[in-house]
Amino acid sequence: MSVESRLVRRLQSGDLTALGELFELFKDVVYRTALAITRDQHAAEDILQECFVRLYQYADSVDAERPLKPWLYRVVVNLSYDWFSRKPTLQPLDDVLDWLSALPNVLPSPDHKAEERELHKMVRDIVEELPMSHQAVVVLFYLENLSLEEVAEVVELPVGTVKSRLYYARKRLRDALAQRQRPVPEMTYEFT
Amino acid sequence: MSSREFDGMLDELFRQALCPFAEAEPSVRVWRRVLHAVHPLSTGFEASVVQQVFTGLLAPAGLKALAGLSATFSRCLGSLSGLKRSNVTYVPLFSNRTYCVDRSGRCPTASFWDITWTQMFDLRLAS
Repeated sequence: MSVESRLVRRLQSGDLTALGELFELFKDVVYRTALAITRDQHAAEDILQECFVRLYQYADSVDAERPLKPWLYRVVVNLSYDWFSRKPTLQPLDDVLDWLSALPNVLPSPDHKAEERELHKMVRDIVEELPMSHQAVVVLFYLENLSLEEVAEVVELPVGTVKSRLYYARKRLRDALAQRQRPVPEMTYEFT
Repeated sequence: MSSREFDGMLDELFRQALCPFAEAEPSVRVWRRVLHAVHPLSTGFEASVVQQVFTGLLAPAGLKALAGLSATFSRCLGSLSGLKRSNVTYVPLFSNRTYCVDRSGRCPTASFWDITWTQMFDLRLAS
């Protein structure tokens, strides 16, 4: 029996320390997935909290013999759906963008990297502009490196639908890149 | 560049752009919020539950060595919670004098000022 299975069994018997150990094991996965989908640190922390509260509440319905991650991913995606349906029109994105640009090892600050940073920001903006259900697929596939089948299991959709959502995301990126490459039309001024 | 290669490049671009999220870590207060949220779900305010809560609180922070301390603390909390229901006899740590506290918090065998603040914080359960 794996460590994970043992912890779930202990949790099912009401052991709060098991919940703490499961939190330590999965908090980063849950948080980063929620943050990548919502782009809101406070929302991501709320989702992380609610995810483990639900794990405690519904521990009996969790199959201890199966991996817990897909269950957690599903709860994160569902809670993100809920958050999107309630979120205000204006999102506090500035904090997240500041935080993202402050990561030196991932987004270096020298001038020659400025274009790369700009490109990455553009890609994140494209992901953000996707419908929420598409964003979840993109995050699970590209950030969490889940297979098509695993993503399909989490979002409870056919593999074909997952593929088409990824295709749509790529198409949006391709179009944006093409738009970016297009030279600004030269303007001629006639002085009379 | 073939269509497959181009798609591969786009895939890589998505991965790189989302990479910073892989570094993200939640603040430590989230675990406390989880505990606060689940505590009312557990039944009663028994010392064993309090001990679990405090042990659980310390375990994720890598403070397992303090689990014993949390157990002692939870026993103190358990004894203090008992004050509401019935009389409790306890002995201050550095004294052989016993005190009995009734349900209203008074000490019939000793005046309130006989118990120093230090002693009050060093309570241990006599029985």
